Formats: sequence, C-alpha cells, structure tokens
Amino acid sequence: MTEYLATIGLETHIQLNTKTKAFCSCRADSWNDTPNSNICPICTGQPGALPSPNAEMVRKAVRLCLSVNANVNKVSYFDRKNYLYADMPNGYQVTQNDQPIGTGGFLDVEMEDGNRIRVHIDNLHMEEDAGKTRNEGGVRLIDLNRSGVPLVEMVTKPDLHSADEAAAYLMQLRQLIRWIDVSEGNMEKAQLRCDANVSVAPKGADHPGRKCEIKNINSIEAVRKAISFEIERQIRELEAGHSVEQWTIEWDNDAKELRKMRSKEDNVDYRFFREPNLMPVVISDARIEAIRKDMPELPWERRKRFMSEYDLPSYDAKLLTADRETSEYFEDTLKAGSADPKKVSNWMMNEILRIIHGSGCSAGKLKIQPKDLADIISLVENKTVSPAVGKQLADMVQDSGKRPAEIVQEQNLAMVNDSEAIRSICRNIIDGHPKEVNSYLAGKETLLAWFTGQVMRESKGKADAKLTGQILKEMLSICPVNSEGE
Amino acid sequence: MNKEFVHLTAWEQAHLVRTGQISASELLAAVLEHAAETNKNTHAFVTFCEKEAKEKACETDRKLSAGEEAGPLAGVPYTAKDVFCTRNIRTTGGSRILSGWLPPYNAAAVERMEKAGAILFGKTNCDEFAMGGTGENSAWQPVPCNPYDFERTTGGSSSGSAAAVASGAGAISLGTDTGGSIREPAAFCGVVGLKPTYGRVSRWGVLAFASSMDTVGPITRSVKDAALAMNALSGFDHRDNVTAKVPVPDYAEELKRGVCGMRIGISPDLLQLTIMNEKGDFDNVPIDPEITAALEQTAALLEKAGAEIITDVPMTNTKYSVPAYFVISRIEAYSNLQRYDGLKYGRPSSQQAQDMYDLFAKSREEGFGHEVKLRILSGLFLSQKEFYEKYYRRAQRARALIRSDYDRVFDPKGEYRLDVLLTPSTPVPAFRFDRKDCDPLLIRYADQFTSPMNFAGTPGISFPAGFTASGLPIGIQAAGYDYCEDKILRAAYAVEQLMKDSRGAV
Amino acid sequence: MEKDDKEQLAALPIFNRLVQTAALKLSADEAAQLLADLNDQLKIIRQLEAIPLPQGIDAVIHGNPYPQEIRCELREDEWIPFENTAEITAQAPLLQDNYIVSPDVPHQRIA
Repeated sequence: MTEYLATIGLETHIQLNTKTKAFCSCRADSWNDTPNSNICPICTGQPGALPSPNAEMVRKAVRLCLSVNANVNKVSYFDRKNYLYADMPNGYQVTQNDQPIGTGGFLDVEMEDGNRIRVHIDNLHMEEDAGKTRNEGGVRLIDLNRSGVPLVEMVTKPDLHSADEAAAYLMQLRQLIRWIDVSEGNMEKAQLRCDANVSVAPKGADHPGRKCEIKNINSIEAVRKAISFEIERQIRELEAGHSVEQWTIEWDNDAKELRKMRSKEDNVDYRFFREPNLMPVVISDARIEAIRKDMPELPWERRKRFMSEYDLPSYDAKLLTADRETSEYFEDTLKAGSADPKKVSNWMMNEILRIIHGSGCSAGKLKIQPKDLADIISLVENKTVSPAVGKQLADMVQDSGKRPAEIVQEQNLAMVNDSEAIRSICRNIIDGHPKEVNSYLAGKETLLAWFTGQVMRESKGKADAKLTGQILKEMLSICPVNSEGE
Repeated sequence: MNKEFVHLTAWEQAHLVRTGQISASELLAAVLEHAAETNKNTHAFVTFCEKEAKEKACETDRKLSAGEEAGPLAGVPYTAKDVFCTRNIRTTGGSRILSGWLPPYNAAAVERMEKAGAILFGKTNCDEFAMGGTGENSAWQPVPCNPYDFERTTGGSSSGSAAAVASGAGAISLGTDTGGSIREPAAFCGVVGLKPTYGRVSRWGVLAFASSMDTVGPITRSVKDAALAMNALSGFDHRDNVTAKVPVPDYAEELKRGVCGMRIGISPDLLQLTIMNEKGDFDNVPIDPEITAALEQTAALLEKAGAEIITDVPMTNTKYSVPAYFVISRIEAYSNLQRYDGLKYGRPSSQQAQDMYDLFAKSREEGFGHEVKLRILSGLFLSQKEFYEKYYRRAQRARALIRSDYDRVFDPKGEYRLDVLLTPSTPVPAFRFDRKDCDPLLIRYADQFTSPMNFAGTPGISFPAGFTASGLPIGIQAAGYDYCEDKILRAAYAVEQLMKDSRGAV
Repeated sequence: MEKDDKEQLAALPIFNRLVQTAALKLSADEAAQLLADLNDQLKIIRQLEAIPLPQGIDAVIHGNPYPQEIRCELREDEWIPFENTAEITAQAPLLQDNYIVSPDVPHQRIA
C-alpha cells in the first residue's frame, strides 16, 4: 500500500484586541451587539469614505513580529485586494501584499511527545476583517459590525505534516498572542481562525501534490477535523487514480462539513495595487526598539527560566507558564514570601489552578492574590495552621476576599500545638473507642492513623498532626487492655 | 426681485449680508428664483435643497441680528457637484446606481463651507462619477449646456457647477478635478476654477474617481472668490490620510501682494499638443490660435504688472502623461467602483436575482453607464496580475518622470526658478455637442494641459482671459508648485484686475 | 486586417472574462460596442511602453512627495461612535432584523 505524506501550510488570521477598528473609530469588539450597530461610513464602504489607520494596530503588529523573530520592515505598504463579496463592503480588502510589516521568522512548536517542530513564517501582514454573513432561509444575512476589525495574517511555510501538528501550532500561537496581549485569541469568537493549504503526495515524491485551500476554520477541533477530512479525501482521490483539483473549500462550522465554493476562474486574480488613500507605514528603529523593550518575556523563555532559576520540573514549569497571568502569579507569590519555589509550585498546581478552574477567572482576576497565597504557605510552614486548614483557607480567601490572617483569627483556625489541649482530645477519643484501642493493642498499628484522623476532626483540623501522633502513641502504649467490650 | 444681487461676487454678497443691506434669506430667495429660471436652459442642477437652505438662511439672519459670528461667507448661497456627500440630501454622482441615495454624512468640504457661513442650495449635474469631459456621461438628462451657447458643452466633469456659476446661480460651486474637471468647464464657461495641490483640501465624503489624483476646489466668478473659498476649504483633515500638515495662508490677503518680481514661465511644450502617432513618433498638433493669442496677451499683461516672463521653459516629459495617466486612473477607478453592488445603498436591480453574483451583475449592468463600464473594463484589463510590472508599475515610474518636469522648473535654486507656469487651460474653446466645428483630436486630448498636473499633484487655476471672435470664453491656466495656491491666485488676480481696467477703458 | 487583429489587446475570451470579473451582464450589442471601444482605447498602451524611463526613476503612488513632517499621523486608538448608523442601514434595499440581505452564494457540499 502506498504511504502518503501530507503537507500543510497555515494562514492564521489574528484579530487584534485594539479598542477600535483598523481604519475607523468604531469598536473592534462588538460581539453580541445588534447587527449593523457598530458601523460608520468607513467600515460600510459608503461612497466618499476614506480609511484612517489605527496606530495601535501597527504597534501590536510589530509586537507580534518581534515575538516570532520576524524582520520588521521599516517601510511597508497597504494594498487593495479586489474582489466582490457581500461581506466586503468596499469590493476590496485593504491588506499588505508585497511589502508587509513583517517577513521571515519562526515559531518552535512543542508536540505532546516532546518533539519540537520549527514552523517557519513567510510573512505577517496587517489587514481588515470582513463582515459576518449567516445563511438563513436561502439568503445571506450580512452584519458589518466586524467589518474593518484589524487582523494580522500570519502565513507559515508548508512545514506541517499532520492535523495534530497543525493543531499544536495553533494552540501555541494562541498562547503567544494572548501572552503578548495582541489578541484575545478566542477561537469561538473567531478572534483566531485559519485557512489551511493542504496537499497530499506519495511519500518520497519529488513534488507535493496540488493543494486545496480550506477556509474559515475556527476551532482547534475543527482544525483537526477539517484537515483530517481533507487529507483523507485527497488520499481517496489519489487511490482512485484521480488527480486532486485545486479547490477552495469552506469549513461550515455549524454543519461540521466541508463545502466546495463555486469554482470561479482557475486562479482568482485579486489585482493587488497600492491603496492610494494611505501613506506607507513608516516605523523608525527607535520605535521598534521601544516596542521591543516593552515586550514581556515569552512563554517558552519563561518556562526555561523557571526550570533553571527555580529548579522546577519541566511539568511544573509548563503548567505554570500556560498563560502569562499564571506565571506572574507564581513569581509574585515567590516575591511576596520566602517559601521555596517547588512548594509554591505545588500550591499553585493543587489549589490555585483548581480555584481558577472552578471560578472561571484568570489568575490575575482571582480574589486570592499572590500575597494571600504566600501568607497561607507561611502560615502552614510556621505551623500556625495545619496543611488541611491551609487548603481550606485558600478557598475561604477566594470566597470572601478577606485576608488569610484575618480569617484565621475570626474563625479561630490557628493550629493547636499545646500538648495539654491535644492530650485532652486524645484522651476523649481513646476513652470513646475501646474496641479500636483493643485492636490497636492486639497489634493493628495502622489504626494509629485512624486515631489521628479522629483527633484532627475533633480539633477541626487545627491539631498539629505530628504532635498528635506522638501523643496518641504514647497514651495508647500505656493503655490497659480493656475487657469491658468483650 | 433683487435680480442684481445674483450676479455679484461671493465677496460682494457676503459684504451686503454682513452689513445688513440684504438679508441672507432675501439673497437666497433671489438666487433660488434665478437658478430655477436659468436651469431651464442650462440644466445645471440635479437637486435643489430649498428647504434646508432656507432654514440655514434664517439661522444666519438670526445670528447676524444677534451679533454672533456667522463666518466670512455668511449668507452666501453656493452649490456642490453631485459627487459631494450631503447628509440626507440626495447624492448620485451622476449615476443611476446611486439614484435616490441619501448619504448618512457630509463631505468635509461641505462642512467647511457651512462653517464659513455659506449656504448650500443645490447639487449640480456632472459626468457619471466625474468620468468625462462634457457632462454627457451623466445618467441625468438633459445634461448641462453652456450658458454662452446652449448648443455647446460646458466641458466637464464639473459641468453643472461651471454652468451654474456662469449663469449667476450661486457665486461659488464646489467641483472636483482628477484630470481637468474643474479647470476645463471653468475655461469653457468663462469662470474661475482652481484645482489645488493634491492633499491641500480634504477629499472626505467625495465620491472617488481616481484616488491618487482626485482634488476638490472651487468654481467662482472672480479670483477673489476663489481665494475666499480656498480659505474655507484648505487644510489638514485627519479623516483624509493624504492631506498634508502645511500651514494655510490667508489667500484673499495674499492677493494684495501682486505679481511684481514674480517669475512666470511659458513652455513651448505646452503651447501645442504632442501626440504619439501610429509609428511611435510624436506629432505636434497646433491648438486654436485664438487661445495662443490670449495666452500671449495674458503674459503681456503680467509683464506690465511687473512679472518677469521666461518663455523657453522645457516641459519635455509631460507628453508622456497621457498613457501613464490612463493606466493609473483606470485602475484606481475600477477599484473605487467595486463597492457598488446593489446591497448597501442605491437602486437595486428591478429583476429577481438568482444568487449574490447575479444580483451584483444585474445592479451594475442597470446602474452604470457606457463610459463607466468602459473604464471598469479598461481598469480590469490593465490591472491583470501578469501586467503589473508592464503597466501599473511602469505608469507609476512614468509618473515620477513627469513630476520631475515640475520639480525642475519650480526649483527655487534651479535654472528656471518659476513661481508660475502659464499654459492654455484647453486646446479649444467650448465645442458643440454635435462636434461639427472642431478637430476631434483636440476634443480627445482636451485635458492635455490639465491632467499632467493631477499626475504631478501640483495646483492650477483656470481664469478667464478674453473671448474668441465668435464670443466664446477663453481660459488660461496658471500652474504652480506644491502648496503655492497663493501664487497662482495672485497671477490670476492680476490679470483679472488688468482686464477689468482695460474693459473699463473701452 | 491582420494588423488590426494584432491590435486587439483584449480579444473576445479575455473580454468575456473581464466582463465576468466586472460583474456586468451585457447585451450582445452593448458587448460589441464596449469591446470595440476598449480595444480602441487600449492602443494607448503602446505609448506607455515607448516612454524612455531612465534608471533611478522609481515608482510613486502620488505625484507630490510627502516628507514625514507633513504627513498625517496614525490615528489614536480611541472609540468614537458614529451617530447615524440607522441612516446607513436605512439605505439598504433589503433589510431583515437589521441585517443587510443578499441572495445566497452558490456552493456544493463535498464532505
């Protein structure tokens, strides 16, 4: 049987999280707004309207270029890409064709199995988004609220070879764009979406096969599905002795199916030419340097540093750098207390990530703040509270927004390490459970843990576990064998 | 009533209103009545906005009686070519595809005129999307006729604007000029037309023809009025990315400086048409001798006023302008017309559409006229990917070459150091609609003296410089360097004053 | 005659493609007239080819130069809502629940 190799290049559209659109002062984010309410003459293609480029779009585009090691072009141009479509109100899209803001660069993508793939970037260019269309009852309903939202299209070289690799690339890109705050990267809201160029050829063939373009894929799951479907379809065609036709295919996210677009000319000619209404985008070296200076440490850099500087295992470092706020939370906690990094990491992974998950808040928006976590860890470390109470404390801070020390005092949660008090609880427990005492004395020493548990319960977790164990052992050893129960 | 007021200049009208000799409402009523009357013959107008104008006139009168600031052009009725967006006032650009369109916003030029106190009372007919040189390409018939001879064209594309101003229907009209569309009709109708430097006046809200060359300027009956209108219109606008941050002088004040010591050039290359023939050689085609004579007379007047005339100025590359201008203007035009798809505004197709593409085709087929379709097809042909270097890029390079002519002659440290270059505005005076009395070549290349400046981006003013023996107006053009509208206005003003004196003497 | 054919820069198949891209539907008469006019006008292209373009003459987008100091700055990222959105949508020939309505786009299911 012939083995096939798929070759995939991705064109990702990254919606920038600017306040306003690319060329007008309408809001960039109008999710859930009434259709055609976030519009103006510019983004609806009114006769006579002219574009006015957004400074923040350019800044964020440069930031993205720098984050993927791309070369920022000091002079770049806006061009018109001409085509007629209902969601494109000017009949052309303002984009950057041959002299875009960024060229070259790469993103190293780590796969589940630890393998690393270097995905080369061909170019990054700024452009405006189209409006949204919806099929309903045989017509297309057009909403121009999204028309003109700034995008950076990031085009890879054909360096990917499976649906999984494409998905991993997208996930890492999503992490990056959120991390450097250029996009919310929410695929459900189409803030990150991609077109995939897929071709299949027998392994070892000189040329990759003819490629098909799948447009409009907007979830990681859809990327996996659409690309797998397309690879399978192309293999079926090849196995059947057909050649693959160069199609443009649209991913219908509602129906989860691929649809072939009406084949137009063999090769659509967009007739690019310079947008005469706009000046070239000129960026000085000083400006590039200022943007570079303002750039946060990137996720993979931070992950590496967490491993070397804090001696964290790779697993911990990866989890803690999944997003920028979590990683900052970790380091802020370290700064706020003197606990050792691995301990903080454990607390983060066990308690904070659990709370994040439960609350739906990002790390930076939790009520329990790094200082609180540091305080809780110290309270546990210096035995003011038991570890069990520490865990409870984390939830209580998150629920109430009060500081840990305040809660400990209010609710009298401080650990009991006064041996007399513990002794008295132990006495009660031993006296109350003659059967268990007998079993223990008969040699079932594992019951010691059970006794400890009872004491902890009685003390509402405040008893020092270690001390309790010692006292129990000592008291039990001098207990007479009790015959009453027999 | 008040018939005499309609033929006054804007400056005179503003003066009478400001000094209370006539109210803005009275002046408006007089102009409206006169415009309705003359329009029967000139067909200059497509829309009168009487109601809106009357409200504004009342407001102006109220302001003036209350002693409030009402602007330098307070109460002056004016018109705008139908390519200027006017909020809630029908704007069609001379095209069926925009019939009934009510723009949701005002053009910047309209806002600025309003801020200066002028009152818009009508929209003037023009070639469809300003594409043409006679007005005949308008969807709205009958097209404007020349007030000097109704059998003759007004020139174009700001046809109705020139006809209206020439016939006393408003002292100022806003026009647009992408290849001569202000200057040619001004010359044909015996009025003043100024095409500013590209980027001097905001194009916000002006229906686009060729975006790298479109300019907005005034058509007036006097040079001083053109200066006043330029005071109102000029300056940076953040909504138009190509407007320049260059200070705007008081053009009306500048007029007083005269032309003494100015260096004014005449180029032998721009006293004839130079046209490439079948073999690829250039033929020189003489222009109407009465126009050449008028140019010489104009130069003599300027010399008398103290200007220095330099007669051997080379403009050798302007002859290449025609093909390069053709390529750029057609490509930009076709793209600018892409937005007219029948979905968002204007008239939908009367036929049922099968699908989206069918709707586009039906709307555009019914909505666009022959010339516009031709320009779309030319633009599509010329912008094909495989011809990008051969046509588009080459035309862009030719543009730089043509521009270098202007840089050379206006260079203050160069050999010629011109302030103003004097050329004919057109090779012929207004020709007949039936074209019977005129060399078709001169009609075809009627924009030869004007379009190179749209290509170069430099300003020019066409001003009246006498009449032909048969009584048709002749326009002469003062061309200048970037942002030197003041200098060309001074030259035109000097000629205007001297000609008035000489007429007075006769 | 042969020479004339050569001068047809936009031959019929090319012309028909242009008409399709232009989104025009032409009657036979109108198409014939436009084809003739187009080819007549396109003759001018040979003049473009004949322009001597010395080295160092670079392509420009605008005729006049725009030194950086006179250029419009990029727009500040500040939300300024347009007040007449209803006047924009009111101009659409077909509106449904405030959506602009277009006939469907032809397509075909494949997987």
